[in-house]
Amino acid sequence: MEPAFVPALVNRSALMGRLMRWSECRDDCTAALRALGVGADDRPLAVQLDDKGSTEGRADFVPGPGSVRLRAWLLGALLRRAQALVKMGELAEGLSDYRRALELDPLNPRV
Amino acid sequence: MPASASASASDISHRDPAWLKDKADDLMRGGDARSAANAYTAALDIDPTLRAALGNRAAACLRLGLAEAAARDCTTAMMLLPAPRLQPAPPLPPVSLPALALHSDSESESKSGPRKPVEGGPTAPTPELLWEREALERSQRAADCLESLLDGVTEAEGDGDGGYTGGSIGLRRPGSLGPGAVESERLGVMKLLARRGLAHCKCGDFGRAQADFASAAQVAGTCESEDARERNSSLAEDAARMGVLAECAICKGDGDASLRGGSPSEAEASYAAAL
Repeated sequence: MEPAFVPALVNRSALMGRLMRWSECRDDCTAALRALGVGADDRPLAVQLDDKGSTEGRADFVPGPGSVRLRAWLLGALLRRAQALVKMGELAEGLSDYRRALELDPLNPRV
Repeated sequence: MPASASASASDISHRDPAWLKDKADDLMRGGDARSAANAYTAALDIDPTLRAALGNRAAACLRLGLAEAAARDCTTAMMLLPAPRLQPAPPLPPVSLPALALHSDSESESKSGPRKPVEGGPTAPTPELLWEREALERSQRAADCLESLLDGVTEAEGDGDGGYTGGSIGLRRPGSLGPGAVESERLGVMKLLARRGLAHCKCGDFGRAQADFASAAQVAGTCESEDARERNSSLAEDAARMGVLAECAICKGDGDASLRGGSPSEAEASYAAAL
């Protein structure tokens, strides 16, 4: 119905993680992050989220940059993808995602 | 100009809600949504009935990611619409005063002491329940206001005596408005509904978003301007899309329930259906 429906992507990635299907977990997280305006480039997360081009291209149900829901989706997708990447042995990429999660929520003990 | 004179002029402008609202509009156009929201708030602190400031603050809140606050502002602005025509109250049943005077239980009450609440009877509503009731009443009243506004055109084109009860807070009476002013009121309501629909969408409440977009499309359909007519079809499309997203949310909810219930295969199927 809606291939970029972030809530379903984020929760399916959790399911894939539980089933230890790590590559599918990573793909769902990547799709969710792309729908939220976070690409594969190395720019800081705040810059990517404020980028006008990505804001306009974002799905209509995605809340604005200050939203608690948006932060929760981002944090969930980043942490889960980091975990999947580490499990798959892609440590450098995993570390990059953990750094982004830390950038998003520096005081979060889970990160 | 002496310093004191300039200071007093500044004070006056800072106490003028219209000036503050214009300042906020400028900030909004400049892309500074946070400062604009603060300026709208300052204007609303002085005049809480400034509908335009409420609607524009909702737009600023949406840009800041504060969708719930945006929806609340839109609802408040809709509540400030002129109240709907009051239906005459049904006639009261005849009351026999002597019988009423005889039927007094004050004596029995005084003997048995004050009445105690009945066990299992209605308890005091929780703040959450009160809030829910308030929200429901507000949305219902907004819908009534909309209907009264739609009636307003015929009233305005007729004898002008609309019989509306609005005006207690200095609002214009739609019945006494010219057709142009009614058109502008309708456009305002259309924008408020569309904005609240978007806010509900951002909150993930797609059912309410669909209802708001459908109402906005209905209002746009009654407008005479070309722009509004064009908005009619796009708003109807938005309403249809909200319907699709509502179905996605239902599938996702089914997936979550299956996941909690320990059925990963069913959860996977439900998530796949949503996507």
